Amino acid sequence: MRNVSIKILLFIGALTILSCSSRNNHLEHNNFIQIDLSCRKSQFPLSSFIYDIYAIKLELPTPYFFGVITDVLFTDSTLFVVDKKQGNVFRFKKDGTFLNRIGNRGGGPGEFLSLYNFFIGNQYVFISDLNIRQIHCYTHDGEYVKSISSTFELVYDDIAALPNGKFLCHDIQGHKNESKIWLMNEKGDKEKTLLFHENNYPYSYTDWNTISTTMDNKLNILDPISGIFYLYDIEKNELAQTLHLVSEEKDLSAFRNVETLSEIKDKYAYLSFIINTDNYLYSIWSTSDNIAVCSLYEKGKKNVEVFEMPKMDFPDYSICPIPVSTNLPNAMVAIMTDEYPLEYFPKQYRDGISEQVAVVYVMKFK
Amino acid sequence: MKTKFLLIGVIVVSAIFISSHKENKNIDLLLENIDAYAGSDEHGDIDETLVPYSKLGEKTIYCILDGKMLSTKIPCCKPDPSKFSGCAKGLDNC
Repeated sequence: MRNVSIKILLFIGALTILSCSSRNNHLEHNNFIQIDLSCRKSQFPLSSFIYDIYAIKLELPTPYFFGVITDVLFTDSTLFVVDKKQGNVFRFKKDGTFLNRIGNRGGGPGEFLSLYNFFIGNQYVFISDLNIRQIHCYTHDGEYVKSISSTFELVYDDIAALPNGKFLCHDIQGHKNESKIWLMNEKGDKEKTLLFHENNYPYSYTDWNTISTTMDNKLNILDPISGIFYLYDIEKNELAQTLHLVSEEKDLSAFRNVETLSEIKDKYAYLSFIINTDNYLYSIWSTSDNIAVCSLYEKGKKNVEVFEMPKMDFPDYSICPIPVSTNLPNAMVAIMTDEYPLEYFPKQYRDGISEQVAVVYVMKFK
Repeated sequence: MKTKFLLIGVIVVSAIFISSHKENKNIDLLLENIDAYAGSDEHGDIDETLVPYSKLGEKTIYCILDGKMLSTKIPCCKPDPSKFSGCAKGLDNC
């Protein structure tokens, strides 16, 4: 009788372990970085961590004009400027000469209803249209190649092309037990879930991407809800937790089963943007006070500076604009359009600013 | 004595397992009923002013004012896996 009971217990125990391990949300980690956002300066000199700035003036031909630029992505000789608001992707030479546009709005082959993401692959560039769950593939010259269709049940907020033809997808907010970080195959099907959503949390979206490329065939993925940084190793097809940035305020993972930020009465701060360079982690935090706070973590000295804005102290430049998403390593990229006041532009570009002109800032980290 | 404790333990664990299983089944049944009801002729398509498979979300916009980076929140549409979700066509994507 006793032996039978022990066997039953062992069987139930094994069942429990098996059912838990099939959906494992926990990844190994030990790299916590604590940032004290309350102890902040109003400004911090840009030259403390940036060693060089150069600007590229971009000019569009008629009838095009710049709207809200969210990404500036570089190749060896060109750059792509993404305007999600108008649904435009413009390609320029690195000297600012306009080359071509990628894709069109519409309902025909290769056309999109809305531009959710633009990203660069090995050979082609891609535009994802989540309204119709399609990814359109183009040459760099803008010639339409093919479209990849997914089912409407598949959801992501950021996506990156992998060298093997697959896609890494990140669904930031999602619902409990749905896929959070997952792989899409070449046909548009879900191939593998790398991480599930632990619960339902509130979130407010930004124009900043959460997936960024690194050297060595790896991708960084920021989870803004928890401040956790993941590293996806393309060759090994593995996801690992690398860093966890926390502040003294609650992050969004503290508000389980809350749908929106407006429902939260407590103070909170969460990581919205991060640049991971060789020597620094430069971050922008969104706070419940509606003031964005910047933090700079120096990896070597493990020193943290917290400030409201970087102080522009390079000659001929007035301010440090709000950064945009980029694929350029060890650099912060920003773009100024006519939405900025004229006095904010570098002195040499102030004449001739119009809705067809934009100035890209490339700020190189030390 | 030990055998009795073990037996009680087994019974308790089994009861919890069975009851949670039953609860899940009930939830599944309820969802199936809602699906069937919403999928009927009277409650089929979502409003034409809505984008299907998306739902209302919020987006933070940043601007520089008085040497600070300030933020404000606006409504936006985000993709959703449910066919019963919809978001107003005029709103920006999140």
